[in-house]
Amino acid sequence: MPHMKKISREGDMGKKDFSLPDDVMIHIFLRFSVKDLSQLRCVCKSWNQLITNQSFVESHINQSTSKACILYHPPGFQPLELGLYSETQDFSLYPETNEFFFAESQTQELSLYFRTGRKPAKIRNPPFATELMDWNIIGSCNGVLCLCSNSDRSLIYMWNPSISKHITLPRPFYKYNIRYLGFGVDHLSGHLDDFKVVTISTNANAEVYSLQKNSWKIIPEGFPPSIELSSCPRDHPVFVKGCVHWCARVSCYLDSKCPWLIVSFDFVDEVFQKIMLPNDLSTSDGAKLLNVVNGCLCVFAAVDEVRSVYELWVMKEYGVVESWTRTCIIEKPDKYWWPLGFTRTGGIFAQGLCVHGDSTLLTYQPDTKTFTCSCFPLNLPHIPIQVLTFVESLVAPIPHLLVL
Amino acid sequence: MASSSSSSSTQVKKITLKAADGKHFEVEEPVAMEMETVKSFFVGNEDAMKDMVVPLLNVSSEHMPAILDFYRNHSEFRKRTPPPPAEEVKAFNEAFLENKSDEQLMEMIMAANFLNTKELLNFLTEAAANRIKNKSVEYVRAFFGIENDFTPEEEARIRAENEWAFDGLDED
Repeated sequence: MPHMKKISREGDMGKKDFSLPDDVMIHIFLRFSVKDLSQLRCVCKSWNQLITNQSFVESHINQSTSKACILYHPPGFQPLELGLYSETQDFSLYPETNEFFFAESQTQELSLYFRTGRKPAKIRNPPFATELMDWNIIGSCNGVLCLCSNSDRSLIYMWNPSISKHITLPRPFYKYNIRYLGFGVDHLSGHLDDFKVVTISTNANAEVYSLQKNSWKIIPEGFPPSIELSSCPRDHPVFVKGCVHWCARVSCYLDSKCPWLIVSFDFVDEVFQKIMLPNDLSTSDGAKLLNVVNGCLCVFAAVDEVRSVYELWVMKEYGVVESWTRTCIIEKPDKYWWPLGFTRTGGIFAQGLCVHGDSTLLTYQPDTKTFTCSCFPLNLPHIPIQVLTFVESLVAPIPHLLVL
Repeated sequence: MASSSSSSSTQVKKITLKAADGKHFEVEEPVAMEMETVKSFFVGNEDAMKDMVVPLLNVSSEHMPAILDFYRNHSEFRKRTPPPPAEEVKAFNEAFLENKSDEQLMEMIMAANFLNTKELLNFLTEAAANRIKNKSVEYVRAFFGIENDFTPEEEARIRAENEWAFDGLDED
């Protein structure tokens, strides 16, 4: 329905007072980046309320999702390097036209440079940058990154780089021997900031942290017995459909015959679950890398030991084993390359050698079956980089109880 | 209905719209029906005759010709095959905004909001957003005629909290 509020014209005629209704202002605000909105919060009280309102934050992230960036970084390595990468439609053809976000570490500073338009703007360093020398990104969700120290995995942070807000998580009960972590959001709670982190220790203890409660809880039944999570450095936990997923194998004596499967942790019910792979995949020994494509869980599975061919299997209907579908086979003549994730235009990111012999970020187009080199040098060619989807958002990683 | 052909030999039906200041505008029916507010006046209202005058309480007659011009051109753009080149649409849109003061732009946004037309509202809000993009807080306040209702302490606090966002502003 049209808004019936009239233009306010009280007082003297010389003074303009437009008083656009809130719904029109929201229309205007939705066109701005988080950085612009952070400035506009300083205009007046009602704008500050409007911009920080939960439903606005939600609308803003929904329309930002279409502008999601690709974020890459080499985990657990110095110098710290974090790049945010946003592609235009023809990324592979015209890499130089892309907005490119790059971060680097000088004197152990972690900083993000957003290049929007002509002027590069520097995002303020997170205060924890100096504490975190060797870090891993556990995940990216609703504009918030979850990071942990590689040498002390009980040191965990949630950070929204767009609004420069972070929280240092309290230490979990089992702070030693944490081996795996997963990050996600309780998508049924109705709050975009109901973030959770799960930890699994080497002796199969498991705990879940809830940002809203700002506390840890031990999962009484622990991690399922007789299952080993994959320790491949190129495999990262994947959050989709309210659950975080890892590749795993059933423990057995003959290592090469142990069947593969996927283990998930449901952030709503806080339980571990198993997802079976298609038979061919579960018994083949090639590396398996989890990912998400169009909201579906998927696996890049190496066909042979030398890893020159990968198959992409997509679970079209979540949780339905029969829905696993092989959607493409990717072949690159040389060895030692691996898929990293997806571009927004249907391509596949990979890390490997370019025609001129340099290790770089590649994109593969399934329809033409061709690889394209990005003008994107990897300073650390042998370190597997991680590619994540990142959305700019106003979601603050702050427990509600602290706001009250 | 809005989709009825306007190129037929029969004369195009007209609908009379009455602006806030009482001035009447005769508008071709398909163009009038681009405005949801006008459409909802007739749709499902059996008693409403097409010769009734539709009152538009929040639209000043000053902006009616420009608004109608926008509807006429954009509905023509949409119907044309092949679609018009992007430059033609852009040129029209730029000409439309040329010489419009900030105040006129605001009034047209109010009108578009009242007329409930997505296309015009999107276009005008984007224009407003472009005019305040990368501008200082003071400029934005002046642009919208907004009074700063923060206390100096509150403003200092909220500015400090968002201080990082103030890099790279344009000159006012």
